[in-house]
Amino acid sequence: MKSIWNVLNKTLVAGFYRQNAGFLFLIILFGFGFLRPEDHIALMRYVFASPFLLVLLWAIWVLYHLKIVLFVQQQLGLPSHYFLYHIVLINRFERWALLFLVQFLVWLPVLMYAAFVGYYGWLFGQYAAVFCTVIFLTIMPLSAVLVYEYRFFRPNPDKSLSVAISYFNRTFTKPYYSFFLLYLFKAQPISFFLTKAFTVGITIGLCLLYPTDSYDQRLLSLGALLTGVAHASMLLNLYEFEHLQLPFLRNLPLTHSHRLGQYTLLFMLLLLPETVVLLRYLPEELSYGYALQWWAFALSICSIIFGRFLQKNYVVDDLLRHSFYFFIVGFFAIMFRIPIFVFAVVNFLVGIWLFVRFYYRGEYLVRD
Amino acid sequence: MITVSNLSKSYGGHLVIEVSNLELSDGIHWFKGANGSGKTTFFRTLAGMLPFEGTIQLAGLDIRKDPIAYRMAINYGEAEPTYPAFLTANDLIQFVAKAKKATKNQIDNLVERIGITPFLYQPTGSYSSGMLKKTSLVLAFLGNPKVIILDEPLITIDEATVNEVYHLVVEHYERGVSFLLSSHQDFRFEALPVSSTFRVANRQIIQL
Repeated sequence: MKSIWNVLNKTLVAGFYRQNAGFLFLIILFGFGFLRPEDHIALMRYVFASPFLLVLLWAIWVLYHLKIVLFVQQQLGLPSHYFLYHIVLINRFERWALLFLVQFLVWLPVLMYAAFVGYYGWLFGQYAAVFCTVIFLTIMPLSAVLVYEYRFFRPNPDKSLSVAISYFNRTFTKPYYSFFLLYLFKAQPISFFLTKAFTVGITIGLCLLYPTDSYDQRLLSLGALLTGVAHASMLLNLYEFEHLQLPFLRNLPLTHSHRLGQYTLLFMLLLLPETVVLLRYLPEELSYGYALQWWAFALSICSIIFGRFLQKNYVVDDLLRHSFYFFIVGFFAIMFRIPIFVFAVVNFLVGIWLFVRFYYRGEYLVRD
Repeated sequence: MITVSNLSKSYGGHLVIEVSNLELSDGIHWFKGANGSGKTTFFRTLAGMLPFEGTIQLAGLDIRKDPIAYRMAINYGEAEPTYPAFLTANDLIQFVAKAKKATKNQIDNLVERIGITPFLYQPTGSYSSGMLKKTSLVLAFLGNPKVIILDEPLITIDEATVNEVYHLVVEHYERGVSFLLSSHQDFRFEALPVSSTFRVANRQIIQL
């Protein structure tokens, strides 16, 4: 049983955290960077007192739950992981216990947060809400075990192509910049959706907040900084995707300017939702010239972050630490009124330099 | 044609292959070696897909100083290709063909001969290993390269395709294209006019 657990732990638990470290980092950064522990307790007392808000919170946790289930399902669909289907040969009790343990460990961030706020909810006498939350937190991992059990006994589900997709494949050739976007929709839909929900929400929120007090452009500039940094884990996905699934890219006779152009187009498409809502909700006091700077600033952050991935074989710890440092430097630069177009130009220049110097020198190494 | 000097390639500090000096003339070169001996790493390095220490030149083109012309002149067929599951063979072929400046006639001819027409528009996620291998072989022949590297070209493909690949190699060789081939086992490529045979072992490449 220990040897089976060892395999499940390395493939599913460690695999999940390795793939989603950037995402979890952003959650921690924005969850605990802005709110103190006492703010969380106060917020949760409010949530525990409102059935509607409690259900809303559960819905967010369900998204995380779906992200886990989707990840495990994807792993089970990889030929390299087909050996995991041998788990059906061990008895049901042990199998369920192991799968529950897998789910429990990847569900741990939610459990820890829930235990923290639940403890205070209990102290403040919100027993019913805390009790319901405990039941919810138990049902979720159990439901996942049932999903995995179903999958283990039905490997290789038949996937027939829809008529529309068949027609599309025959009629159109997918352009290069669409490869990664399709990958995000197919392989990372929850991370993609949550990142976009966060950055679009920040953009709209700051635009609406702007006229309510004597804020200046720096408020929205901080939003652009957050938007750019929030894409770090997505850009790491891009770097990994190209190294692992499109290694022949480096054999293609494409000029640096061509490749840079393709990446810039891709980053522009990634930032399209934020750009659209910025233009839609742009405060009257701000010009379209500023909106252009905002856009270029966010784009330039993607450029420099991707350049860093080429320069240095990033592991999760590096991503977390360096994203944090970058955010802090950017925060102070903006607060000290350094114009963001200057910041954008510097980012672009450094990003281009990193790209040209390290595109062929970069190497993806898998580390445990 | 290919000149390799002081090449060393490591992964995370672990030396995989070291070549002090290697000259490969025009022709067909066969590389043999056990699993993990470094053949694929050497091939990928020659194809410009991996960073390395040292110098590599192809017909006077330096891999670093002339990155575009060098890559136009060298193609690589993976031993165990993997592609994004949602892309079709056609998506991959059109993308690589554009970069390698392959003509429509060449694409159609390769697709027909290697036999990927039946699944050309299906996502690669639905392919068997043989279908993936056939797709990688089409990609390896696109354009007008001076050198084609085929890493384990015959594994997983059916008998008819083995014959086609053999004939494609012969035809390209007669037109002046050089080949670097690898295989664990002896195969019908022995019938080809192999210029030289190398053994890759103990992080070295030794001519037999």
